[in-house]
Amino acid sequence: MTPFSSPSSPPASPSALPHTDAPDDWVDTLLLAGPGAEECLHLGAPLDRAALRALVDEQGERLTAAGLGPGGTVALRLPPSVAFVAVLLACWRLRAQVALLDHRLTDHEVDAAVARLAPQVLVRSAHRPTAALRGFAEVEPRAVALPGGRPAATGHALVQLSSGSTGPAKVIARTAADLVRELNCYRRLVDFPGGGDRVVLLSSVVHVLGLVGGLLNALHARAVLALPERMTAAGILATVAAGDRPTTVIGVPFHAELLAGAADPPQLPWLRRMIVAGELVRPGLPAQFTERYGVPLGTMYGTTETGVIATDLSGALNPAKRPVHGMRLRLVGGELHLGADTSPYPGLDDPSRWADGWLHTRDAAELDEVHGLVTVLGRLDSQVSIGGLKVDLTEVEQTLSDLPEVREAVVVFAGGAIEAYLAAEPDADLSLVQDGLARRLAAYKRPRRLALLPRLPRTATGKLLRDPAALREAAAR
Amino acid sequence: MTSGPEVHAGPGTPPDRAEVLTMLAAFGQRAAETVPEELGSLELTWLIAEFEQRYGIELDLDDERFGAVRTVDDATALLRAAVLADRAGARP
Repeated sequence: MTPFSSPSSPPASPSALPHTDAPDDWVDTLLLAGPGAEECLHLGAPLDRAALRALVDEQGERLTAAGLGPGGTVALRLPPSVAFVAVLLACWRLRAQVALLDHRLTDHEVDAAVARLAPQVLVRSAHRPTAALRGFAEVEPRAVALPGGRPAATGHALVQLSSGSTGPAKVIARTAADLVRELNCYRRLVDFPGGGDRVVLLSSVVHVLGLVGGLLNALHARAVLALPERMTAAGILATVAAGDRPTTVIGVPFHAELLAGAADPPQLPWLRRMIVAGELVRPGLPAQFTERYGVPLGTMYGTTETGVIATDLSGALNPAKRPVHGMRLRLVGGELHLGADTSPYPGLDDPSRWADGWLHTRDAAELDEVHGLVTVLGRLDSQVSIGGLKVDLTEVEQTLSDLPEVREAVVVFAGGAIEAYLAAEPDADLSLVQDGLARRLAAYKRPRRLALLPRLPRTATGKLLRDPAALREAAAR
Repeated sequence: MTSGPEVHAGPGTPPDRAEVLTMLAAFGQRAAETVPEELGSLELTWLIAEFEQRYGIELDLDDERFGAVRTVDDATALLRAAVLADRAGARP
């Protein structure tokens, strides 16, 4: 226990209107301020601050026309784009509560999210993006008022949904003040991109690393944020090579794998480091990356609930990391807990997730009290990470079991991939199962392997067997 | 396994299954025989990046075609078609 671990008052989601806990006009003063001619975004073409402010103004008018105002609620389903940035900032400037939905979710998943969150306005693109490997899109956002939408019930500015296990997806919410706190943490990290730097962002802007560590930090610190047109190694390297400022690449470990494997990369005199987060890094990868590019592969650890928790930006501490400013950590039964005055889960009273001022991360970790370092060891529950995106295996299992062709299903994680073993009706067609899944689950959540068995193997006590090796053996029979 | 003309490794000739496995094995520095038959979306992204680098051909896949590639054989067929179409002067 740290000296800071005094329990706070009972859980209460902030009850004031969204944004009232942050400095007045925080979007204008902390994100959009700066010389009008200064480049701030580069998605195919440079965009300066004056142009971004004009786009935010324009989107603000459209959102107002759609009925959005202070204390209102809005859900965004937009791919990474200039429009996404403009709409998000416009919503926040209107003091609305914003729910971010990954544009890769299926219509089925979006319908479920809208039913759960009941936003007053939904913003989506007029056309669905088509190219699978594009780093960003050009979209025309459409704001639609939804009947039955409800105003914000809490003072949170940002709402995200976790991959749900059983039952409805967990709502994770953050206040504007907490986002500002996280931005201040980043400003204290001397190796994190700052003014005059350039960030090449490979992570999704709707998830916490890309959103706060990438987009919001770049706007706040006045760095240029660039997104590659193509998310292949050649496309990423071309974007890095195109700049003439100190450059940091931010992504997930998969992106570092892509770059570390690139043959004959161009000279990158401005590249300073790459920083990855979202899942554990393969042990040999940092050395391989540094050998190829001559710069460090730094790592960070964070959660949707709190943002960045600990960092090792120079790669010198790997796999340990140093907690960011003000972060309180403790271990209880091997599980990492974080100090959090209020619960980030509005509407959920679950003391196994948050109690008495502590957030239970469900991550196993070790704390080095002498040097003040934390090492994250892995998950304690059924959540896995696919390319940095969180997937709860029970959600996949439940979705499979709900398909008419499937009697029962076991979903496991082995060798970095999701595998599903199914007992199906006698004449079941595996392609129907695959099609059904494709309609219900985003691509990154779908099992790589689907094996059909006459019946699922069980333990002596009748429980479904979950050992991947035994399941594979049963499928091979 | 897809059929096609005889294959020589390198730009201009369509990749065969063995070459696709070699490209996939470089992801995470694995042995070719440990690459599973079923492909994940990350492996497919990796494969397309490797392919583009080796062949100088850019693949512009929509989400639907990307999602339809589920196995090493699917990927081999896709990449072979891309090389043949490029040779014929038309992008797939």
